[in-house]
Amino acid sequence: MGSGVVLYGEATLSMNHHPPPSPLPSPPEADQPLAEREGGAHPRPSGGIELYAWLFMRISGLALIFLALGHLIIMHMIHTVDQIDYQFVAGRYANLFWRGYDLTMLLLAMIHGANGIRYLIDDYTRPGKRRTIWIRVLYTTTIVFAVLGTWVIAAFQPK
Amino acid sequence: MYKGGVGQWSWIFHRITGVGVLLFLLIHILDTALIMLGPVAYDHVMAIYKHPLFRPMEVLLFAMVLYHALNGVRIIVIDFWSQGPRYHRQLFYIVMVLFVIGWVVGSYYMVRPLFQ
Repeated sequence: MGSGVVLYGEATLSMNHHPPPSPLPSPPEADQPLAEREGGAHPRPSGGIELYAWLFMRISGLALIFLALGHLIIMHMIHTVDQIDYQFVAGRYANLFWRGYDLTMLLLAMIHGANGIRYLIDDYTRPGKRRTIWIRVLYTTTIVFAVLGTWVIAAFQPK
Repeated sequence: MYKGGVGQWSWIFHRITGVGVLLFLLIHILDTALIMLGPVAYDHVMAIYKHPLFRPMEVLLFAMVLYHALNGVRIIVIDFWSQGPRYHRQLFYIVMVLFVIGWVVGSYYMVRPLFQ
């Protein structure tokens, strides 16, 4: 079974795409490039689209800390779930600021989450048909939910 | 196979909480979309969230978001601060202390209406 050996080789390579951080990272040398150090969620990609994805996760993550935790504090602590009903949302969405806040949070969270799931698919499936199907399911789901959420935030008019 | 240590646990929790928060986000997009059907449909679904049995879920969701946020900062610090990898263990302990404090305080405000 020659093909089995090849498949195993491919799988082994792909499974290390997003490895867990080293438990005891050696202190980086002063002249060592940042890209070669390890210890973060996964090593910084050397370039191309993966570097942009890596950067996006960190920048959107920082933004989402304020957006999502802010949303939780406002809607679940300052107000509580007991107060949230149609009238509450209608009042909130009368202000364009909150629509913009929610839309920014929605799109950043969907892309951040989808890219996170893409990392999981890369790590836990082998290259091939199954991975392709999972990736397609991921992209379809992401687009459907992002469009649905965007439509609601933009189109809602209180009755 | 990679065994044990603070780095592995923080990494596993980051993945679990990330998936958990994303799953809730999908549900939350659906429940919010019901507002397009009018007050009756929306308020009916919101009544489910207001059930006391949902409070533990709410507190758990807050825990997942808070951990993912704090550990995300830890990841960024390790990636961009030259001394980050050296202090990754201490950074994790700081994250856990902030997590426990934030979770207890935040959860108190979340469940407060139950005791009033």
